[in-house]
Amino acid sequence: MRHRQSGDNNPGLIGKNGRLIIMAACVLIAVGYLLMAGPGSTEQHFREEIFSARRIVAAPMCCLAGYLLIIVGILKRD
Amino acid sequence: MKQQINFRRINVCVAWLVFAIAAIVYGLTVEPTASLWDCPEFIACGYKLEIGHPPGAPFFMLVANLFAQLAGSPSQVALTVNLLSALLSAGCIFFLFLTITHLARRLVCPTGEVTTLDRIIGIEACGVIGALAYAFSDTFWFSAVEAEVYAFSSFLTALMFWLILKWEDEADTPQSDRWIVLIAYITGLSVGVHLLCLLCLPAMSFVVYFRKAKRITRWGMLKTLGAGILLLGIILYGIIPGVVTAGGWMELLFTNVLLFPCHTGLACYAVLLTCGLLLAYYKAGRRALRLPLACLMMILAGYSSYGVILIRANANMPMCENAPGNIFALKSYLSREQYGDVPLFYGPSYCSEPDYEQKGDYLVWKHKEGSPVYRPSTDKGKTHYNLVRHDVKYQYRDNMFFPRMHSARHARVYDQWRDSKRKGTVPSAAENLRFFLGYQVNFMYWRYFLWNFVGRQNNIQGHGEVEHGNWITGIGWIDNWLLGCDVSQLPSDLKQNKGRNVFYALPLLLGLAGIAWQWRRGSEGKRQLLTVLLLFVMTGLAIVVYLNQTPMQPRERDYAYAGSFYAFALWIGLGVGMIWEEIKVKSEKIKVGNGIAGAVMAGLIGLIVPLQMVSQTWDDHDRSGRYTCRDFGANYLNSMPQEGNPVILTNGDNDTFPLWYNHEVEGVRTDTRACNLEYVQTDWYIDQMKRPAYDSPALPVSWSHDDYLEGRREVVPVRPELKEKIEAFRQERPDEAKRLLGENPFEVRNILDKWILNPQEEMQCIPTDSMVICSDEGDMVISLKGVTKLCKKDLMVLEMLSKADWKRPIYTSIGLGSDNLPYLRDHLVLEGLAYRISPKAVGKKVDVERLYDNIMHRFRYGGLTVKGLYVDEDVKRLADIHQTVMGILIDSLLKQGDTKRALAVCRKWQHEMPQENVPYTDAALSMARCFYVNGLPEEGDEIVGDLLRRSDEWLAWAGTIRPERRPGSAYSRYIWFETMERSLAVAVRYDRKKFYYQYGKRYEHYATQTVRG
Repeated sequence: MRHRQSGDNNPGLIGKNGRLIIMAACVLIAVGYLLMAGPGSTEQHFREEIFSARRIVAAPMCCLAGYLLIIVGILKRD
Repeated sequence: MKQQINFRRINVCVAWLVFAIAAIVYGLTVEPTASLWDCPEFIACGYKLEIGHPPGAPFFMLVANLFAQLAGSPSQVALTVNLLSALLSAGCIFFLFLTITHLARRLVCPTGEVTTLDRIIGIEACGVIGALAYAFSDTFWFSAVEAEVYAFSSFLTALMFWLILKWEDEADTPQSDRWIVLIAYITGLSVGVHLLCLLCLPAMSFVVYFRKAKRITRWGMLKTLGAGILLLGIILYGIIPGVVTAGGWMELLFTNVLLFPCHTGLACYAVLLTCGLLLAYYKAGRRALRLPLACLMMILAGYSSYGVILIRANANMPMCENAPGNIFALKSYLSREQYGDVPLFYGPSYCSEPDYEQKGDYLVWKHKEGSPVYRPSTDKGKTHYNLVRHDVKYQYRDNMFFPRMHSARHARVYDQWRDSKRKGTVPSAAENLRFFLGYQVNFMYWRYFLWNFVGRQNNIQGHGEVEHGNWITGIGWIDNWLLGCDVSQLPSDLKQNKGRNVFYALPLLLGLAGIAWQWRRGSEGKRQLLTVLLLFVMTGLAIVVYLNQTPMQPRERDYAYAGSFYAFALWIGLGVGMIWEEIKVKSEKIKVGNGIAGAVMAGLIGLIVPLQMVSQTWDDHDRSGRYTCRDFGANYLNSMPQEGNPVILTNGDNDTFPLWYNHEVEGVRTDTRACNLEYVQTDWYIDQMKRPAYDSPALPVSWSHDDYLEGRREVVPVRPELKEKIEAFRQERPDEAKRLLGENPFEVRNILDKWILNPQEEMQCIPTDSMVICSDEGDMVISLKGVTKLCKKDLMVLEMLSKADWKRPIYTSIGLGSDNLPYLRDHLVLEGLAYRISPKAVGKKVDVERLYDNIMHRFRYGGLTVKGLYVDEDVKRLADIHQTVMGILIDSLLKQGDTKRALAVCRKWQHEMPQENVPYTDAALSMARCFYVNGLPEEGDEIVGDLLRRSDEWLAWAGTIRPERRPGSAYSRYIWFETMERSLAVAVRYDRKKFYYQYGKRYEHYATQTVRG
């Protein structure tokens, strides 16, 4: 979520590696949500695909990995 | 230094040991399938990312989904999600241990260095005993073995509190800020689990104050308290709804003004918000600005898990409560609009009259218009948001401060709390306060607290009567005095109730000792005391004030206060420190033993508490082997035939969620459809019912979305006086009447088409008190005598019935009380756990063949054959329903003279639901009759004798209740008196004289007593 920044003289908050990890985590979360999206059922027919492995297995795992990775990013020391 | 390292290492090892103990205990007692109440819903939410009740738990869903992947087959999904709760609960115990040892270490070793072995032992003992006492406490264990969000939220609360202590240790180092940032992130995540976690923030602000302030002052503490509560308020009422509201404006701008496709505005909003915050973060050079900005970003990052809800709701899944598929619906979902508003500090009482104002010639109910409500509507492929209404806040006269008696629906029960002369008037401040302290604080909070740390009477929900759900000590004379009865004469039903747990108040005393110890240990101790006290109050009494609970709650609510019991467990742990110090002082006086022996002794004495607790609580938390929720839910579905895609109308909670679990998770009977009558009043649910789901085609509803839109046709009047006018009109002008009102104007389909769906609002009524559904199967006359209005749900049921044309069977569940759909009462045929709505029902209430087939061959009974299985109140209630249905079947078979098959049902009953697990009720008398008829008097005697003995015990004990407490027990007394009377009637009928000799006199005695009572 935070970009690299030169001249960051505040070591108290998250360091460079941590920020990179958090950025990667946010990308993972976004990818997860993209995988989760897709067309839905209609009044005419029930769409089995709403429960496809992509949308209810891969997508949530991707998101969860991202959310957990943020914790790693916050705690990472340079 | 070496000792210090040793201490750290030992401390972490013991923490893992405590974790392992808790994890094993919860693993052994976990329910192997779904549990009752909301659990089946949560499992489906995790497994298939469907949408449960507001405000949702998206982060829980993500984690539960991961665990669900570990299941080998769909039937194990529930177990894996339950195990998630077990592990998270063990994790909570882990952090509880670390928190206690942190506090104890600071009390014992002011420098923070633990140098001697006796201190290590003493501190570890505090941790172990406090953590185990909480692990074995009633409320926490209950949530640890089922798939609910409370285990997760306890874990996050414990984690957050531990993190702030971690920060406390490092506060002077430059890296310490990252703990604060992490806490902010966990706070954000916890919104996606349960808001309860946020309540520990004020206590945490005190930790920061005590650590950072140069001088501690009263004024400083007061400011900290204010700041902590302000922070909570900002997150709860500012950030959480605010971010979504602002997103709504953006979406509105993009969709309605700039004519972009929907969700474009939302996507832009997310990008803009992120960029804006990042920019602000980098522009802000100072740490004092950067830290809050970083925290805000992290809260939002955690909160973004609501993306799951938004995205999945757009998939139009079979289970999608409130359909929060756009930002505006998500806002209603988040603010839990469907549960209505509860006044907090100023507002109407239950007796307050609406405030009217003059508008033209009419008086209208004065109201304030709140925020606008938008809903999408699609026109020629283009989606547009329409303003459907404004939130309306109706105004009342006679508002009062701190209104505690506020729900007009509960007027009758509130009245019982009041002086009989003042009934119907606005409660005085004294009456209001009496209700607040007597019911909300004492009955709905302290009672639960005392269950956990003093003792619990039984697992049956209490409403204030002597016999159910009270707290007890286990010490006879105290309990006699508390309850106002003679507990030594308790009926065996209550004495052997597994939910009866007595701790002799030992955990309470140890916790009080912990408070005393903190108080005695100088300023550090007092600061700790204040911090823990704040945690205790915020997660306990503050929730009581916030919830403003009404009487007659559908279930016990102790789970909401687990956080405050957690805080008390901290004190229980520290209580060991008090014992330790006392031993030290005493042994120094008489100069025996050394420090180590004293610490070990304190630990051993303290250990009595958790061991005594687990000896009591194990049997009523051991849910292993119990498959009742799954099987009973399947029985509802299997009551219906295999062909025709039947539909079952159900009631809320335990009447619906187990059915959903079978459909969504295990894929059982997906050809059927469960239609919850509570929800079918709403437009989003009707939308869902109009879509096919799995193998079940759409329900036969022809109305368009606009016809049942929120706010339209919610309630229509029944106007029988129009009937004559219609008849006269038909006589006069038959052709026009036919054209305008249909061939038969009283046919349901014509009433719906010509009257209800009429665009003119004044025409939207039922112009008769007697309707008919005509078909080849025969006509079904629906009488509305005495009914003044029908709700949207009734109209939907009528629509389905008229359109289904009996080709698609429609059932009502047995749990649907007689208040619902009373006009269908004469058209129901019992076939299992459901009644078929049938035009041929008149004179035939039971389909014996189908019922027999269901009970004997298609139903499963949840593993109740295993004697000793834990049957709690809710499971027993469901089992009782099965027994009632079996009793009806036996009676019907006996009436037909089919004694052989009746006996087979008796055998099935006794095999599947032995009385050790499900004690007999009145329904078992049908079985006794069957045994007598079949010439098996001993077996009949066993049932009659059992019922007579138990009712005698109950009634004899009821006689010991102090007169002023008797009215509360009148219902139990009535039930057992009835049982005795019926049992004796059966004994007399089949000439079992011995029972009459034994109980006849006693019956007459109770008869006079019951009349007097």
